[in-house]
Amino acid sequence: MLLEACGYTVIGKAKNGQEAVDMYRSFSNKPDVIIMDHRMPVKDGIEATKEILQINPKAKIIFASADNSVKEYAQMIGVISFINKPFSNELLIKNIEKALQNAPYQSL
Amino acid sequence: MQESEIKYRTLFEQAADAIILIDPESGELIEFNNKAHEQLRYTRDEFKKLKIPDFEVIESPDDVKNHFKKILRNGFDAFGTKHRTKDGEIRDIYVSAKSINFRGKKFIQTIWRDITESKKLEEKLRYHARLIENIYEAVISLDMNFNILSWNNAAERIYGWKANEVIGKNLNDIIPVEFPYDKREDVLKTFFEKGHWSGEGIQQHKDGTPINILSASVIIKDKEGKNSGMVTINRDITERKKVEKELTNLAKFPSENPNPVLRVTKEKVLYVNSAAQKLFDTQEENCIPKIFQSHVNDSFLKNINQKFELVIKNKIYSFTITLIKDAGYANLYGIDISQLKETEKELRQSEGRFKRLFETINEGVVVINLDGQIIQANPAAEHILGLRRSKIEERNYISPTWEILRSDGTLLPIDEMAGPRAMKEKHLVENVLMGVKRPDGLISWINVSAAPLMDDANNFSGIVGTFTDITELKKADEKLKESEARYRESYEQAEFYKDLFAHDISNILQNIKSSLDLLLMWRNKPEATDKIKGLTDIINDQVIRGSKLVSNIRKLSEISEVELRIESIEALQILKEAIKFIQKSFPEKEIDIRIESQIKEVNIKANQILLDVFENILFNSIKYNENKKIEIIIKISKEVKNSTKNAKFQFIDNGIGVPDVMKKRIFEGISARKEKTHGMGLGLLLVKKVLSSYNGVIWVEDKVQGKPSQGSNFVILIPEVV
Repeated sequence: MLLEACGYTVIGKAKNGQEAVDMYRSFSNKPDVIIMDHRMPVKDGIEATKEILQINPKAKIIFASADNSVKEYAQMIGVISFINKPFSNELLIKNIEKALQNAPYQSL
Repeated sequence: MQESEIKYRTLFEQAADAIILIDPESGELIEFNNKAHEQLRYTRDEFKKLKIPDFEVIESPDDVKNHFKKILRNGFDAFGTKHRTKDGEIRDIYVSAKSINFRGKKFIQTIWRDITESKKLEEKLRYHARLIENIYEAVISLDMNFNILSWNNAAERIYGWKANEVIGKNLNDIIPVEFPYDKREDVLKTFFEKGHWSGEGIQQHKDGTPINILSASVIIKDKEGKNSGMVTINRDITERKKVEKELTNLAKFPSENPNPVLRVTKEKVLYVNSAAQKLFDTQEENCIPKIFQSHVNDSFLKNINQKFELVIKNKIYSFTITLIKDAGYANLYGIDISQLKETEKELRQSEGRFKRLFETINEGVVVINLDGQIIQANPAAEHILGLRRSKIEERNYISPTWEILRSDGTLLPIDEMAGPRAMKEKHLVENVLMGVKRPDGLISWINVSAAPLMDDANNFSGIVGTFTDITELKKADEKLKESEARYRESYEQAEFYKDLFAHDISNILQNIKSSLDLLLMWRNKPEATDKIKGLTDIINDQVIRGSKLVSNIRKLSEISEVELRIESIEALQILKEAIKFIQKSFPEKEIDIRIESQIKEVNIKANQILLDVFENILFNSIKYNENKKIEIIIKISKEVKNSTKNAKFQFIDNGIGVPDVMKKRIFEGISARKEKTHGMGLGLLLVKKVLSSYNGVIWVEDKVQGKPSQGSNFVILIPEVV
């Protein structure tokens, strides 16, 4: 709702990490930005991130999690930014804008 | 002529030897001198009538004839023979015989010499020589310069020198003499002055061994009375001297003995050594000391040897009376046993202390001999092993009737047990943990040490085993371990719940936050009214979710901490309550929940937490459902599983379903989920735990077989009340 309200088109929602990877693989037009949760069934966000980046190293993934312990690892594997839950809509939008500009955004 | 004949006749008649002329053909004695018939003690007339065979002892008449022929042939012969005299005496005769011609006829001229006496002398001399050779004593003849002339067999034996090694050598070079009791110059003086000497000396065997000798030496004189040589006869008295020395020592013994020795008759003291004199203040010929008189009397009366103890001057003596019956006296031998008594006393005390320790110590002690037989066990061993001492001591230490266990409950091999190891290795083996099955079925856990035992001669004689009962300690240790495990599990559980709670709460708060942000953004935009309604619904949902989360956490903790009572519960009623609660919780959602059941009443073994079970399953079905209209069908039936009658509940929804890979994992506990949590929430975990406490089960299937995305079917079985 928020993203569409901000003018973005949501082209897919996955219930778990595996679905996310399959969905990404299936897109002929890849999404500009992926917002990745961490704690998901079947496959978590870290594993899904790795696989998507293997498919497309230039994929822009914003990693969102309440678990701060995975932040460093997520950044290491190549996410464009990491945001802690609960985050404000404003922060999310700013991270999306920066990702689209190819610049990582340091979350506060 | 006549004078010549007279001269020759005189020579013939008075010759010292017998001369006889014999006619070899007839054997007649033609002519003979006086010596001939005198030698054989015949008169002339008697002798004339004789022929050689009449007095020849050795040769037969034919031999004589043949001998005559031999003499005539050879011309001469000389030989020894024997003749018999008229009175029957046999004489040794040496014969020289020659063949002569007289007036054309051959005759035999014989000269007979009676050698009987010289033969006897010769025999005597030979006999004496044999005697000397075989005599036990060494017989050595010397010249006046002590050079050895003869050396008999005994000399060879005694001194080790062979005759041919010493004859011609000087005695002093071979067997010089030491005189232990006389001066050398005195001995020689006596010998040469008196012509003889006897006494003791010490010489040496060829190998250097000293030899005690008793010697008798004499100077031999010739016919003129001059010293012509000497003979010494030596007897080896070495053994005798040894015995004499021993006897002398023995004879000295009582007087040197520091312990009292007496010889007594029934009435008086015959002998008393210095030790006895001091002790009893008595002398020889005194009356028997009163202190042991009764013992002496008793011995003589009963004719027995005795042993008794006396305390004299603060010392304890042990006396032995030995009766010498034939001699009419008794010998008393005493020995100071004061120290021995003291040592015995200390030993008894020590033994007593040890025995007391053995009997009262808390540790079990068993003594095992070289055959492995348990020969001693203390009361603590009885108590620990649950066996009477007599039963323990019947057994071998490795008897299979002992069931010995390792700490993990498996049988302990013999070669790992403390006792056999100590027996084999012959050194201390410590701290071996063993479990022993008692006759009452319980297991005594013991910490065993086994040490080798040595006898008085320091030989290995068995082992002693000591063991401490650590059963309670082991139980406490196990309880501690269980407690630690439970603590660890609780800790991990708490960590897991914390983790899960944090995640779920974050998501809830995120949803609320996002919704609020949007609300703020759209609050003054009438065109966004529907969206605002949606957002408030979201916020409300999240609050309910949060509330359920808190409730579940609380319930899970309760189940962990307290075992809740199981009772007979009517499940349909509970189910209906749950449905009502869920529908009230989500007023904005279109939820259709239907119960399909032929059964009016379902009585199961459960408790009030069953309500949380139903609520969580329904909540899950709503949470994971993206449809506008949420449909849940609850089918109730009965099923027998593993011989148990169960009530079966199936919650069939039209939600997002559960992928096959997650069907088991959504119910897994803490340990399986430790590494990763997969966002399915605490609800199903609570459901699983509660159902387990009812001995019930839960699993999930697809609503439509093979198509998980079309919805789920959560199936529950709970044992019925029979």
